[in-house]
Amino acid sequence: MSFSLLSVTFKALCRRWIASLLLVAVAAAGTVSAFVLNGLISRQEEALENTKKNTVISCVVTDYSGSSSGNLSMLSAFVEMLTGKRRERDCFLDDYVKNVRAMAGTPLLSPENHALRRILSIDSDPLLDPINGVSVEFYEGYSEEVLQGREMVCIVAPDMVTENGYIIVSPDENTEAEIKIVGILNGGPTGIIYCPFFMPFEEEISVAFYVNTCSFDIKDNTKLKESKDYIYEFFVVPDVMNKNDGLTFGVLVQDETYHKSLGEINSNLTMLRIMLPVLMIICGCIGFFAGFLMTKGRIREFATMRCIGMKKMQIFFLVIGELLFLAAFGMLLGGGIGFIIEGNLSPKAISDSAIITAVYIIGTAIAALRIVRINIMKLSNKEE
Amino acid sequence: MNSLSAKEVFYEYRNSFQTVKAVNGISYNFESGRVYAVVGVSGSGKTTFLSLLAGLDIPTEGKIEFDGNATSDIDRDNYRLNHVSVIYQNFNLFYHLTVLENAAYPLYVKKMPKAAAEELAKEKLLKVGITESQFKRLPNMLSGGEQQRVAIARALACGSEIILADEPTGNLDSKNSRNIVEILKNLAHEENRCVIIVTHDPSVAEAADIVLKMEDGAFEDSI
Repeated sequence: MSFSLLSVTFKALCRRWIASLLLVAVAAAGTVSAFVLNGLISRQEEALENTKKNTVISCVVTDYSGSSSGNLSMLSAFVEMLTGKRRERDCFLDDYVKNVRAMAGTPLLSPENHALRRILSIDSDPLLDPINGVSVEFYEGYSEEVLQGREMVCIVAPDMVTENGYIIVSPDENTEAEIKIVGILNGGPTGIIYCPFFMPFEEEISVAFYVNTCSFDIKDNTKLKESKDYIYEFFVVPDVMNKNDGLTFGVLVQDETYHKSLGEINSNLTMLRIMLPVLMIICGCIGFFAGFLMTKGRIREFATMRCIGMKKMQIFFLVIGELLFLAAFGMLLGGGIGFIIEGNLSPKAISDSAIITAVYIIGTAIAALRIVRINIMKLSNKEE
Repeated sequence: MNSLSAKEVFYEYRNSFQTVKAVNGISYNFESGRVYAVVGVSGSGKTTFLSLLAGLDIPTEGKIEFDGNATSDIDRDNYRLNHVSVIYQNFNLFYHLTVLENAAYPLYVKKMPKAAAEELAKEKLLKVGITESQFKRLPNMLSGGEQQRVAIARALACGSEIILADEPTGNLDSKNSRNIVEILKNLAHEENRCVIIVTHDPSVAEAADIVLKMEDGAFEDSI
């Protein structure tokens, strides 16, 4: 095909600008749709990842039946298991859980009317919740991490601070311990001395004690099922039918919201992913009808080309060339608009819009195939 | 000079329901340098016969021979591009191309360089009376007579030895008709081309060298 013929065809294309513009607009709309659709899909995928990564799935330790999660009277050994202190005994619960919160209360003989409260973290005791106006101020060189260790330290209300920075406590008549004050509770409860959860009263001597409350979070939500399976090797699913032997405790995994969020996002993603092939089918159909209408209105023109001596396939490829040019222009235009709307040019959006444009061109090409069946014997028909 | 002849030509239009005999055993030898007028009532097969001469289809029986070769055996696209041009009553111009581009179109198809093609097209347009100021206009901006001249210029630009015209004056007033017929006569007599005109117009038939009357798909005795 000569350059002159292509040049004159391009000029005619420009002069038929309304029809050309419509074909460009259809191709551009397909591309914009692909961009927007991809944008929506990537945002949903991002939301899915964020939900998996950032959603906190809390687990609460309860009694055997699930009827109570306070005053558990659960041996501290369970908290040791959760915090990875029993790995040498083949318990690897700390691989699956994090942010273990536990609290155990010990009454004191001295100071009078005071209680010692063992906590693993500030949020282990609801009374220390900042929402209640409580703030904990650690002394220099100390932080919340000290609560997870075994140092003989404590946090007290401002009125309990002593000059030498130590406080002497006696849980029973035979035990007396000097504990270093490392932080002050502002606005918190009075009469409670908070100390690290595993703090011994005598150095290097660990004792077992009863835990009042315990909760924790799932470490990796993507391994939720595996995590639950492992947790239930040491705890039970709370049920009144469980054995009440003082060693059986339940865990409630609060994953309903997580599953609901995942379900909604996955449902959105499924719908959006279905829309892409639907969009392709629509574009193919629009392409077919656009090609059909375009060729229908130009039958006499094509017949005249045949009469002049152009071959069927020469005309077919000339028309396909026109459609390709308009579709490519539409794709570029749509890509530009899509970029403005979405603010990025993702390779997936580009490949999807290329597929949509290709399907559109195939649709138009199928319609344009009628050119090869033009009956030029009818060219002499007098009506226009 | 190239020769064009019809030998026992039959042509039928067929569909699922009926068969219509449009051309019924025509044999004739057309010579260069002459104007032929094919006349006859509507439905007598004139246009069908002209289309067969143009190589738009092949006869159901018999053959159309150009230079001794049957149109059924040759590349008819090439035959139409290089040897025969058809002029229609409704002009069949490309309405989104200018007058000059219309006249040069067959030359673009022949892959002639653009400048040379347009130079030749301009020469032919001027020859049929289209002025230079009209070259850049679209066909819709011309009168019917002028559009028909552009169609003739397109046929001339091809360099075809055979010019076939189907009711070329059908849409024109008498003055324009006379001009077109004059141009066609000159093509035959001065450029030694074979011009075959299908017409209902007696004045066109009168201007022809040979009048062939068609009835029921066959020629009566030539007049």
